[in-house]
Amino acid sequence: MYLVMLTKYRFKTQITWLSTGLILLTVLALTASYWLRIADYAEQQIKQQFNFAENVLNQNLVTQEKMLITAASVLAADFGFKQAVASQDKNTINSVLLNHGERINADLMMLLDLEGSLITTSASKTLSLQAVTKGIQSLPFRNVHAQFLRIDNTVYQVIVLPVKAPRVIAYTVIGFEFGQASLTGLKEMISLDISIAEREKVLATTLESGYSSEQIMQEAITPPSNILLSSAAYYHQIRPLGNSTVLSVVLSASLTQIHHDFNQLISSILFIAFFVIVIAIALSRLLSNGLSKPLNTLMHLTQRVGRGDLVIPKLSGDLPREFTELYQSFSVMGAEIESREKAIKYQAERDLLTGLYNRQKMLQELEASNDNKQITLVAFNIKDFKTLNDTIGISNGDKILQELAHRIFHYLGPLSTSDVNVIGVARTGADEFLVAIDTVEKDYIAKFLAHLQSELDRPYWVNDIKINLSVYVGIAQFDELISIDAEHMIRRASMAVSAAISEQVTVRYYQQGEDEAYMYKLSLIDELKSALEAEDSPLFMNYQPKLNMVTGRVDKLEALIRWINKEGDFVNPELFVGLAEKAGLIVTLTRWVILHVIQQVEHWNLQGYTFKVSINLSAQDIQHDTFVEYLLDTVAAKQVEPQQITLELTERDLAENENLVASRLTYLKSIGFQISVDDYGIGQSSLAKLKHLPVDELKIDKCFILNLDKNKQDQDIVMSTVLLGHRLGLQVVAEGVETAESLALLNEYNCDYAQGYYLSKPLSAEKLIEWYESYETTT
Amino acid sequence: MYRLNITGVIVLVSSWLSFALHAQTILQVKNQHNKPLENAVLEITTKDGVSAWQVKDSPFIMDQVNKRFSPEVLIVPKDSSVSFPNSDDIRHHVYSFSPAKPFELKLYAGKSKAPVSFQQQGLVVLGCNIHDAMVGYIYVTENKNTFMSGEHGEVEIDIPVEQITNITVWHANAQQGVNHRKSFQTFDVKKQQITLTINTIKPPKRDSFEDVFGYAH
Repeated sequence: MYLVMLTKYRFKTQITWLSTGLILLTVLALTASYWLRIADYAEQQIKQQFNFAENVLNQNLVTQEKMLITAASVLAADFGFKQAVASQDKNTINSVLLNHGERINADLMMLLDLEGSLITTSASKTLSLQAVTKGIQSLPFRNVHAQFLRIDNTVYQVIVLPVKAPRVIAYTVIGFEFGQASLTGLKEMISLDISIAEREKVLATTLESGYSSEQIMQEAITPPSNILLSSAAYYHQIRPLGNSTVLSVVLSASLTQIHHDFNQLISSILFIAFFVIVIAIALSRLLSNGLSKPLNTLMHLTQRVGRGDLVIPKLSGDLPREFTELYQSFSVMGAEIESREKAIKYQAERDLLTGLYNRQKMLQELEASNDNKQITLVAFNIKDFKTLNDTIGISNGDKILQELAHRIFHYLGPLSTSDVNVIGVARTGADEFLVAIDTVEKDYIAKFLAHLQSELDRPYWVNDIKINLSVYVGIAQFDELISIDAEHMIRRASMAVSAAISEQVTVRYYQQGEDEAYMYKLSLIDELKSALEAEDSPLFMNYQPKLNMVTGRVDKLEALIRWINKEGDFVNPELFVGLAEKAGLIVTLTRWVILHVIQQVEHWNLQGYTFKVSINLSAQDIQHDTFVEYLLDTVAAKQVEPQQITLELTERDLAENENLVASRLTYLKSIGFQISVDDYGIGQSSLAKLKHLPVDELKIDKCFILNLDKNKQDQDIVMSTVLLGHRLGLQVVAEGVETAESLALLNEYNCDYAQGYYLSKPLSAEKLIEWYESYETTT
Repeated sequence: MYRLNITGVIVLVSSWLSFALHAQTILQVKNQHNKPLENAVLEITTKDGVSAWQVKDSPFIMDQVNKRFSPEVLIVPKDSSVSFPNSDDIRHHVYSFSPAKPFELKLYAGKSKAPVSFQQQGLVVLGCNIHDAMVGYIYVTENKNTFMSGEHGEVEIDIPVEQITNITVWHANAQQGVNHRKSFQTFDVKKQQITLTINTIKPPKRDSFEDVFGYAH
């Protein structure tokens, strides 16, 4: 925990804390150990001292006892004494006792009769008879050993001896005072203070007078658990005094010296610890400086690397060996990062096959040189590269691309050194290349193109096969007046190439507005998508009547889709249908038409108007997997007969995927749908094909009809086409009829139906009914 | 000493003879442990009362042999005199603090000085001031029928049991002290034999530390 906390601090602080902490810990451990040891030792010493003292005390008592016994027995055996006792003369006995007492320095002399009651006493102190009698009662007579006897507050070591003459006639008690003087003498011998206590009352002590009896006994009975912790000045121990049951000795060892010694020891330890800590702090400062300096150097180094500055300077100054190695590792790491960064950058910016810029890098380069407003983008695309790839294989195709890239480089290399600067060369698509140069000067560009083309036109050799390539070139130029971003610049070049391909020209310049038209088409596609999904669609159907030339009545209509966009402009149907075909929206669009037309036809059927309505289909529609199913489902869901629906396809549509289209149309025709060939006469379809298709109707293209009344050739073509159609069993429709003369001619040619502005322009469903009603009434 | 012994034997034999002729009662003294007590003194009172004892002309002898009084217990009639010859080759200092007869024979050897006369009944405890262990007893009585138990604690008397009214027994080691005398009015009689029991304490060992200081009582 402590270590975890440490890691928050600076290195220097950590080291200082660590060393200081360790020293403090050591000192604490040492002190604690000393403390325990010394406490133990001191206690043992004191106890030893106590044991010694007790031995001395006992020895002393034994010696004194022996002396006492000797003295007493000498007295008891004295004939004169015996005689005096036998005489029972109190005064004589008293004087004898006094005399003998003085002889042996006894402090207490008593004579007791055989029943143990006091006959007479003689003592150095005046004692009350009551206290003496009470003291005697506690004496066990049978024991000849020394006894301790307390009379008043004086303790005597006494011996009880029988007086024999020759049989026991009395007892004599001889005692020495065991008081302050004896204790003082003992104290000198045992070097301990000594007290005498009866039960819990101290009778005499050598302790200083300030020590109360209660205090001594209190301390003696509950000794401190640890003498070093104790604040008491003495350590006491209670020992029995001789074999007395009530008296005891309290031995007191002074703790002052021990406390003093220990305090001195602790102070010196603390002083040393303080000294060592100061040294440790100084040393750890030095050590941490030695560590933090190289660490700082390394830190600055890594910060440099982090900033991407991978050039690592040579190590200046001496560092410890580990840090030098670390520094070198950083240097190596920097170099490796740099080379890896280069590789990554190369891969990110380059086309890996040719080594030219990729599109992304080209964009960057163009953005970078956008200040230089004069830029020419030359995009080129290999003619039929896909076919070539299919023929010679992809790997060979790649070789050609590499060779081509090499040639561009070879050509452009020296070019860069002149006035004109090559901004970049990129491969932007599979077979699309882009060169950017910073000039728009016409002559220069012309010369540039000529040289580039001659370079690229040289034959290519792949596996000894000679291959000639030609390229479409698209050029887009930008100057100060045009402010568009790099993305648009490249798109314009691409558009120019696309235009070159579609227009089959070698060099095509981007023309003003192409980009805008393109953008407009894109926006139209977006709008058409939402129009197809909208509930209240801006799309709607118009119907143009077809006049039955035989009956003179209108019984067929052509359904034409119309669209008014958000701006309220009428969008050219050919434009948006074409866009829908390109954008893959045509199937959805046709379904929308089918649904709305069939609904309308049902509506009319219910109103009592029976028309056959033709719907324009594209090749994509008829080839779509679910087209037939959708058509049949829709018709089945409405009250409309398949015979009422004519499907119009152009010659070109019929030619695409001929077998599938033919089989599907055959099927639909068998159900009852009518099939019509639209725009007949301008396509490439042969009559042979027409013969095999399940067609009911030919629709002569309006380019033959529009000027029919004025053009003899058209009259011939139309007349023979009607004839041809009829011969093939088909009905013939002429569209684009604008004059009465033309109509009359068609009637003359026996054309079956006529359609055009002469009769009516395409009308909305309601308007058509109005027109129809009025037309019926006028004819 | 030799002569004295002879005399003793004669006395014993004659006594035995007279007992044997007239023996009617055997008295035995025992302690509380049923141990026969030697040297017990028995004073007998008959239905006729106390029969007075005539004093001999010659003094009684209390000899000192081997730092012992011999005999240990001596029964003498009142007004008898006792001679204290010293048969040891060391001197003795015989004394008595007994109220019946306090006296002192200061250090002497061989034949004692004048015999000591005992005019008062009672027990006289004898000691030697030099040899504390020496203890002897002189039992002074007026009663003729006073006997001392023998080795087996027995004494044979020619007084029939039915004649005895009181027996007073004394023994040096009596528990209740040296001056104690125990009286018996009723006796445990078996085949003319009377057993008398008196409590004693263990006699002190001689020449030991305890002997020096003795026991209480």
